[in-house]
Amino acid sequence: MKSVTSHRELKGASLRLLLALAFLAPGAAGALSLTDRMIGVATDIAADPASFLYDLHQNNEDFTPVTPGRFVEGGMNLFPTFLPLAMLNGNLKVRLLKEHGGLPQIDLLGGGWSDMAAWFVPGTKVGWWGWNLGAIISGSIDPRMRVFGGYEYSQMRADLELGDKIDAGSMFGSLEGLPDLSTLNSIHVGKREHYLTLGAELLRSSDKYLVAQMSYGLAGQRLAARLTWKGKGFNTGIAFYPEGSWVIWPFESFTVRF
Amino acid sequence: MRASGRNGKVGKTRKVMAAVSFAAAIIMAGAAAMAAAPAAAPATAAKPAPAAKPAAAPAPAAKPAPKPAASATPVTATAPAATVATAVSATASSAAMAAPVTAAPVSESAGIKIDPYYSFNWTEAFTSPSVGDWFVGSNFGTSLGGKYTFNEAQAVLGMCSLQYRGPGLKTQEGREFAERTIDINTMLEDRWTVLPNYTVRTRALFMDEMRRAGSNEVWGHGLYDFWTTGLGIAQDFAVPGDVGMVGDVSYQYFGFPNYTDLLQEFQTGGATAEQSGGLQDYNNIRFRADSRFGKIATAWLGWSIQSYVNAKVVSEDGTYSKKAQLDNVFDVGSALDLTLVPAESGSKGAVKSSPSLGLTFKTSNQNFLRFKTFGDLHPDFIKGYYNYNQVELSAPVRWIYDEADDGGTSSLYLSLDWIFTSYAKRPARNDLGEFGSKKMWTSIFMVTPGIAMPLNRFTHWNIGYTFHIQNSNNKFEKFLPYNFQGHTVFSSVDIAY
Repeated sequence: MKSVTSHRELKGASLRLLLALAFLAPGAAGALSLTDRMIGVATDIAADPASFLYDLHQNNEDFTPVTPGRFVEGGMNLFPTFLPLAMLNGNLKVRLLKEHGGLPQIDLLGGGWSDMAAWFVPGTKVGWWGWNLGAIISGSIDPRMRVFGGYEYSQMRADLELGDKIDAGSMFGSLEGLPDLSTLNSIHVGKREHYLTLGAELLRSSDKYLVAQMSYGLAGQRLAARLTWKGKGFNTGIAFYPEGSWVIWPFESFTVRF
Repeated sequence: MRASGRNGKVGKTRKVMAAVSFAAAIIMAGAAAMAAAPAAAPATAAKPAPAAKPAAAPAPAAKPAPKPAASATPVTATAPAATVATAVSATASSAAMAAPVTAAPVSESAGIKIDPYYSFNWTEAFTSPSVGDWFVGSNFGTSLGGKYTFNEAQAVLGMCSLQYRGPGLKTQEGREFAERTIDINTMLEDRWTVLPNYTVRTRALFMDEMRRAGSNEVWGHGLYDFWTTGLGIAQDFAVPGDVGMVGDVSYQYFGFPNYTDLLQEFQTGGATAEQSGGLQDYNNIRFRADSRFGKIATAWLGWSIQSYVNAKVVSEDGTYSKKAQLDNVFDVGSALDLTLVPAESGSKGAVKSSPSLGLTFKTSNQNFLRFKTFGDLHPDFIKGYYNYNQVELSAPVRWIYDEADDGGTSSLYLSLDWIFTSYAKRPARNDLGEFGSKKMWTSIFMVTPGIAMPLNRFTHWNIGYTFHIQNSNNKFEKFLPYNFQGHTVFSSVDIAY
């Protein structure tokens, strides 16, 4: 792996560039200042809050197969959902069939979450929850690579009373004082989707994997892509929703495997 | 401008087809695993790589909107406004032939050999054109497929892919920078080796493309959305002297469920607008001959006939005649695969180039009317407005400067691309939109230097830059730019097996 070592810095720069560009995101066209960018995002969210909240909901999910040699996994997203958004979440993956004797591995996956903001903030009315359930088939096509595909049903519901309305203008100083063009004082939305996913898991080193996956939602033509660097306990990754208000979400999660 | 009734029906069909496509892919993954299990044990620990199977080389001409190396992208429809579009960019069979499924099978079970194929691509690009604002675009794509060889005579190849293309500089006329598309492709091909040097390939395919021109459009309701399905049969001949010949005939139906016509709506009023959807639907018959000379040269010759189902030819008096629109597209080209400098060891040190030259000639009996103002009684009439001749030249060079122990290669690449289009009968416009006396032409030149680095033998990181310069003697740029420069910096990750 000589070349990998010798080019690590360049690859790091490449990855950082990829992330930086993704952070800027479609819809950011011409918005050279951060303020303009934030206003654009805020108005997008105000126009379609369900999509934004649904993207956050998806960050809780871990739709990857059970690690080879293990039969059950439990995990939790730490960032950006549990922290700082108080989304108490958990997911469970159970291997129904081990890959052996010419048969693929089959897993059942599920997860759920609920936002805890109402528990801690007096007077807040927040009913924001979601869950997902699905199954994955995976098979090794090489000693260092597995491919997988699966189906997932994913649902979110949000009933938020925001009290003082959110005003895109006053949140970002330059438009303060303008009429309330993009304001919210309550959100009552729900979204559900039927996802089909294809992906691959590449072995990096012992118990460390890189997982790439892409999902397509049949109900709303939603797209999601995800890269996950799986470690022995903690996982780091980036989730990408190309048509979302906020396109890229870095995430950190942990998983316990048995 | 919407044919909601048609779209509702087609929308359901799309969802069903997408579900079927992915289900097929998932089944393929499962089947691959079933047969692969004995050969490819689950990756429970780091193991030395097996005998080095070269990773799929990164495309030297990695551009902001690259296609997966072997995505089953069988067709590119001639969109109504995209008159420069090539009617058929590649056949399913050629895409499949290019796929690395022809490599040694990785598994064998009960006499069935499986050659799986998987790819994933993610590109992020920052683009700053000289007209308009800068923007960031993303491209994603994933493919899954496999070749199932039952015995020496029979094999089946299946492939499913999903592709998202975000905003970017476009090389087709009439396409906006901000456009986004989602493509779903499915292809199934039977390969029957009748004789050792004669193979018959029969294929069926389905493709659905959704196009979104602006953020206020809903996916699935785009004016230029289309779907296509069809059958094709190809015959491969191996000729002594390492020469291969392929004769290919295919039929496809292209449906544009939402497309309608402003002239027709204007003339007939809103009452029949709903019935105007599908105006661009056409039947496509394509003949293609491919030849391969050793491992160095390929050449092709193609002819597509596009017979429109509903679209009629517009007459000089501003009405539609009874004659149906009929387009013919001829294309001819050649490509070389050259090793300019041989490798020192393995593939390290090699300098390779794969230049290609393609010529496309399109003729259409459709004419063009330009109404200067609403209700103009004397519109400009241009006969043969959509006819064009096109030259497409590509010259990528790649230097493989390093090779890792597992076969992953590092390379520097430089790609030069030039697309020149001249319209046989379409006059160029001035900046006010008035037609002049000279015929219109458009030139697009792109240069792309970049570097590709391996993460492992399946995965590459790319980083590069594209300079895009477009010139035309058409100066009417109120709606779309014809003369501009663009700078694109991109980074991508590619996984291919």
